Amino acid sequence: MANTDKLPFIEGQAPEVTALVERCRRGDKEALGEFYRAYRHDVARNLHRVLGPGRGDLDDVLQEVFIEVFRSIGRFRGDSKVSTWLYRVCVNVALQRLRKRRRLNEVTSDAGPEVRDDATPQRTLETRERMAAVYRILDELAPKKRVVFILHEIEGREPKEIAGIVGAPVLTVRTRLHYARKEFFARAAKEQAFAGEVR
Amino acid sequence: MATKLHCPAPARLADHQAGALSDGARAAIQAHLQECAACRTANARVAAARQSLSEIAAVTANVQSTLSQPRIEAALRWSRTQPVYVEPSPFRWGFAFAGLAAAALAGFVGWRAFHRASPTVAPRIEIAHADRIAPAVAPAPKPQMLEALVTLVGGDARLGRAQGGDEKLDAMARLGVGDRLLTAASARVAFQWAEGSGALLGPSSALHLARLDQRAQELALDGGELAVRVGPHQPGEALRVVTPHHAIEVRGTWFVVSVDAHGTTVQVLEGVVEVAALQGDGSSTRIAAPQRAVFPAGRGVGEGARPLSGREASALRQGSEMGLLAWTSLDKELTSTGVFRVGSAPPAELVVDGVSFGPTPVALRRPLGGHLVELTRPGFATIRRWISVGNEPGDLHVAMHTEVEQPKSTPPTPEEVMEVVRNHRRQTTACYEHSLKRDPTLAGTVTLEIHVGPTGQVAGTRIEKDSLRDEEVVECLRREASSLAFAHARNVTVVIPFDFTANRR
Repeated sequence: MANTDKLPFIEGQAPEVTALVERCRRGDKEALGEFYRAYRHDVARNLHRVLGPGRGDLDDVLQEVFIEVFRSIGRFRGDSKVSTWLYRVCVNVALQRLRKRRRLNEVTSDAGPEVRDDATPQRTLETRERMAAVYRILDELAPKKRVVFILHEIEGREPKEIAGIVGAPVLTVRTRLHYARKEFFARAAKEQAFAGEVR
Repeated sequence: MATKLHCPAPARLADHQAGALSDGARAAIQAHLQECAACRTANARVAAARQSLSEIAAVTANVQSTLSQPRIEAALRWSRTQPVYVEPSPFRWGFAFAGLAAAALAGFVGWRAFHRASPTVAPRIEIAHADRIAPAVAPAPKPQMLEALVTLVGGDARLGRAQGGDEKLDAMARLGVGDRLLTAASARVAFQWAEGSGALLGPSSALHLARLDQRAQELALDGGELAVRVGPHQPGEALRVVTPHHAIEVRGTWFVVSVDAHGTTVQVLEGVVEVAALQGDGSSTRIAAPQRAVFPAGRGVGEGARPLSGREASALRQGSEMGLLAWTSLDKELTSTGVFRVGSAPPAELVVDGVSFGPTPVALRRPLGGHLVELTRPGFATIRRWISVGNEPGDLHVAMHTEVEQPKSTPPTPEEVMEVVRNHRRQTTACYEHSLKRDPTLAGTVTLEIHVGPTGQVAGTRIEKDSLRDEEVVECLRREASSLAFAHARNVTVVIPFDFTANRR
């Protein structure tokens, strides 16, 4: 039985996006494929930022996100932009993965994220080491604090927007952010990787 | 005043750098930093950490998914995702509660009026997928006959037509009611008749398509093994697999049935099946996933199911993968899919888009477009080819080659270059720092061409580019470079630029 409720108009959202989501909600399999192709790179980018490099599980988590998206798109009532809703699903799946990592005490590889090709190996190495240090510190944070920290410090999102994504009150987000920043920079101030002599 | 300030917390230093503090607080921190060396170090590290955070944003902007469309489609099929879910709107709930309240009130009034036990008032709930296995449902007055599309043929298989005749099974064939399939040893045949519904007939097996219509399907397995996947069924629809001794009835599940003279074995990977004895006491039992049960011939079906281990279930899934297509209708499948045959000498395991289809030769039906074909065999080099499936049948025949020794020239991986640079960073930095004391403005890039010999040791170096223009640094670099050693690179020339800039922090 198809969902026939029309999605409401959302300011700033292209009509074709709304139409695509409506087709997905009706169970149109081709629309689901289009949805995947349209958003897979955005989701991959977001997951990469939240989960960090060197794990090799990005594709698995990406797949989990889309399975969850396709499972729950019928419940999407259009009270937020599709991208915000998608980001929310993304964050929830990433949180589950982070909790699993902590539970299993997974160890990351030393490899930092891939950096641009035009850098010299020496510069690339330093950049990768510093980025790896960032994620080493982030691994020490509680998953909820980590997510809020990344959304604010890396993506530049405001607490109000973050509250919409993580589904928590703004005050809670501010509190998490306060403690996340406190813990992160306290560790960063002692981290050798941030004390390069030659750049 | 400023000197009385305690060392600020690193997070406050970050706020300071971000310009998020008031003028007074900023001035106090600046004054403190001038006097406190430890805080200056902390401040520099916090600045580096903040810079790394912004670099992460820039670097990850180019991250792309490498996940292929076929893989995500396969995963979605695997997970049985149902994209449509109807959640009643608040208005509907409102009406529902109002209706319920009205019904309850009516029931109460009725009880008062007739002084007898009130009927239970409850909303009528329609369940799309019943949680119990109903008996086979009588077909609709005009059942819509289905045709099954062969999607895989591996090895020799025969097709006996309902109207008579026996022919070699071709991957282009369509199957109808009454058709019989017979597979030779090590052969297998997969076919599909609806979205999510298909079967894989194993080696040395015989199957009769006893019934194939919209409402009910019946597959009579006379011998051998049959894996069945069944998509969601509407109420009233049913599928049965009948062996000489038992009948296995399902709705929305994935299971494997094998039969021999001694009885029937049922292994359930998803959902629930109900097994009924066709002989003996006619008893029946249910088997839920993931379980395996053996039912001897001529006796009732007692409780004998045991759980499948994770390893068994995984092997069973892999062995019974039939590569179901996204199904709309038979006509659409015929136009949107194509057949290709893969052969190899010697035979190898075929994997298409990450899904294993067993040993070659195999004729396979897949959606039109590009697919990644992989052929593996222990001791032989894996072959990976992108093929394009079109409307006309295609053929891919390859010769497998034994794994050869490393080629003479082996270039290093970026990681290996990185490792070598990392191991000698202290020395190369020292080369630069020595001259930096003499000339604090010294900066530039020296690009070295390094010839790696047959043992991984550096056989020679050459300056390819030098914007630093400092003989001492260049000579020092060449000296250090001549002691580099590569773990895997052999007989190759590697170009490594060294970038030198004084730290301005």
